[in-house]
Amino acid sequence: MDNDRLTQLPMSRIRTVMKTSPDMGNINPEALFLMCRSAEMFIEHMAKGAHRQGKKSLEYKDLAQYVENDEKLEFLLQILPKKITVKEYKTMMEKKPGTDED
Amino acid sequence: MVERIEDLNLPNTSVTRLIKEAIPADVKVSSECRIALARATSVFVLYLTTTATTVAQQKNHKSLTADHVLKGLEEIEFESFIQPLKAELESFRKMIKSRKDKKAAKPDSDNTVEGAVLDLENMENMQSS
Repeated sequence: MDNDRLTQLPMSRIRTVMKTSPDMGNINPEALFLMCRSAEMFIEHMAKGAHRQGKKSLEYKDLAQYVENDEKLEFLLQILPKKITVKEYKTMMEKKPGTDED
Repeated sequence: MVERIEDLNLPNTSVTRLIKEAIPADVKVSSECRIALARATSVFVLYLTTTATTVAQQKNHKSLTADHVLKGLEEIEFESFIQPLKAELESFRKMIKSRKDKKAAKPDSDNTVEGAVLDLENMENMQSS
């Protein structure tokens, strides 16, 4: 199959994201390509992993749950936090300090 | 890290297409989910970049190379990506090489497809190893 594009995500955009990293020097074209493809594989990995089998929808809460379940996605815990209701939050705040649920 | 991660948006259409490729066709993806996943992907890129940069620095390398990215993936526990990416890297290298050969043989080459590739070739020529 002949693609008229190497990647679906634009490499220029990926490069912009990478450049915000501190101490970022030159980026070899191969590295940029791999980074872009890694990002694409990441999206597919997340979508596939978060989707509940048989369900007709994929929602934010599925992503948040998937992030919580997978240790290697720990870096995303603050980016994709689970949402709680105000009531749950209040209950949480009322708990005695030092309560350890582990 | 980044002050305004919202500024580093990935294109909605690309993200949506990639999501759809991974799940059954009749599944409805909420826009909240799409936006969140796009954001998470930017974070992933930064995370992998920082890790790969550390690998490069530890080896005293000045440019970020494919090897650093592959090692970075191992370090952040995304090893399952490594083999498929290695295969794609080979195809990529072959393609770059064949374009270089074509270009050398025909100086007035049509700049048809893949302006990105030509940019990459220029980048490659600018790199000094």
